[in-house]
Amino acid sequence: MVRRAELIGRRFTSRLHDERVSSWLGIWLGVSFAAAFVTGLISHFMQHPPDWLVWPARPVNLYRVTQGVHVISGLATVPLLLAKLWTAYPKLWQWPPIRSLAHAVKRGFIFLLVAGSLFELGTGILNIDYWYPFPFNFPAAHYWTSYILIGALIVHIVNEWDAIRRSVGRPADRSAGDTDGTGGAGGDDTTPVASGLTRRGMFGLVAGASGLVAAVTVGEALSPLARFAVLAPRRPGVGPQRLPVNKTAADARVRSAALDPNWRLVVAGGAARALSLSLGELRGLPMRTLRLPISCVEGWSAEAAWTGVRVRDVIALAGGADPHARIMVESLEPSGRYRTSELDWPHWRDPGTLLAVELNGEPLALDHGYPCRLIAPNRPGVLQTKWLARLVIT
Amino acid sequence: MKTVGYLIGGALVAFGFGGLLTHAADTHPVGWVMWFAGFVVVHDFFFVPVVLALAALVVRLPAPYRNPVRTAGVLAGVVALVSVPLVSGFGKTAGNPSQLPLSYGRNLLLVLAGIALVTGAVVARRAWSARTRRRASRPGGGARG
Repeated sequence: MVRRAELIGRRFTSRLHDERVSSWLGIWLGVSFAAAFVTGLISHFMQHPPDWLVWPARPVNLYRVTQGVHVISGLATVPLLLAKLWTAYPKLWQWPPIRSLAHAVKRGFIFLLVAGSLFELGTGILNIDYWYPFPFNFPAAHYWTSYILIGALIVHIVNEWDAIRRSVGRPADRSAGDTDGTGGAGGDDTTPVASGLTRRGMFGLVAGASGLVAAVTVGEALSPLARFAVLAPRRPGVGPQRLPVNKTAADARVRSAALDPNWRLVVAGGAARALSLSLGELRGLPMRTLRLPISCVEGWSAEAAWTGVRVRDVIALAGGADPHARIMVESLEPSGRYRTSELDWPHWRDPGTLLAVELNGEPLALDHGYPCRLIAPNRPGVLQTKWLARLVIT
Repeated sequence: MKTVGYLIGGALVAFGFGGLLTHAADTHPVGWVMWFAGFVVVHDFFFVPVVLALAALVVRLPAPYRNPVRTAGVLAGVVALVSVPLVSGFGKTAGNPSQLPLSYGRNLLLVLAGIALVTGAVVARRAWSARTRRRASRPGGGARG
């Protein structure tokens, strides 16, 4: 067994497994994971803000950009991660597998790093494609695992700091070559190595693969490139009234309640005057038309023209609210995680936050939230509550 | 300095595990472990061996064709891999045609065909230039006619 493991270890002779390649791929992977972590935290805390955190309503496209970056750069990270794991693969077969307690702990953290990386990218891709073969709730598992991944990444960076500095601190050594014969940090980036691919060639290949993945998906977030998004789960412009739908009225079990001619929008809670508006009365209030995006947590986004009444005008009609009040927006949905959402003061006071009744010049389609839905700037799509029933001032 | 790094990293890992355990109703810890470790098992003992076997086949090709074929293989493999859930269509829901609206099997084949076409052109060009070089270096080859 020892002999066999040694033989396996010796077979990976390509210099592409070397320290310099591994370091540079690791640096790019670290940058990518850091970006995913930060944008992921933004998304998490926009959906679950702690009491002290108040998100601004502007810039309008902030969440659209952060979540687009999260998903598209996540997709583009797949080739980078696979290449990095490939350069490190021989170490999986090191012998003896454990030399000491410290070595065992180190390898344990490597396992967390590798498993966490594959888990985050793997579950992330399944989620954006709406395929849920796993037993856990995706946002919860993806969120908590991200801390394990980033923690293990920090430990790994500390352990590899010297190697990183050796690889980055000086340019590729053009004269020394691979003097120790083990595939060390020496050698010119353009010298073909045993397998025929140069280091530069390998970096180019990884960049090309990342670029290709991004090219066939980015159009779901960047509408001008929509027709190139041939392998993206969404296509801006495709859906009722030329806008994609996440949850249909049938799935939300709101059909009959939403189509009820006696539907009314109720303003309750701390309102000085409790309001109850029919659709006709709501449409009788000053209407605005704005272009705002739906920016989905799954990374796609699409802009549309929304017509409706400003939330702040309706609140004023109900006698106003404390300037720092929050407004709970409730849907007709009988149940579900996103039945309600909260508008903090920058959002409900913003002139761009509407109770929309029209989309692209037509009355809202049932699947877009007829008779009335919320649409606000800088807000995750799942919080743009559809089929509104009540606004509760809290 | 190293200690600070270990402390921060270790604390984040502990925080992550703590969250997974305290939100067990959502995170389903047993299922989570299966998937967390499962990704590693599939990658290390299935995915990489398959890639190594394919890479071993590439080495049998004449040297000038290896890199174009290798490049094409990596690009095609990565695009196919990230498209598996789309092509499988498991995420489609009845009554919501805007979710996974495209014909992904066909689109993937088109992208793969594009990669094959470019690779074929590069290989053909290399074969052609190798042939003309051989001819030019043959004694008297350039003087004929």
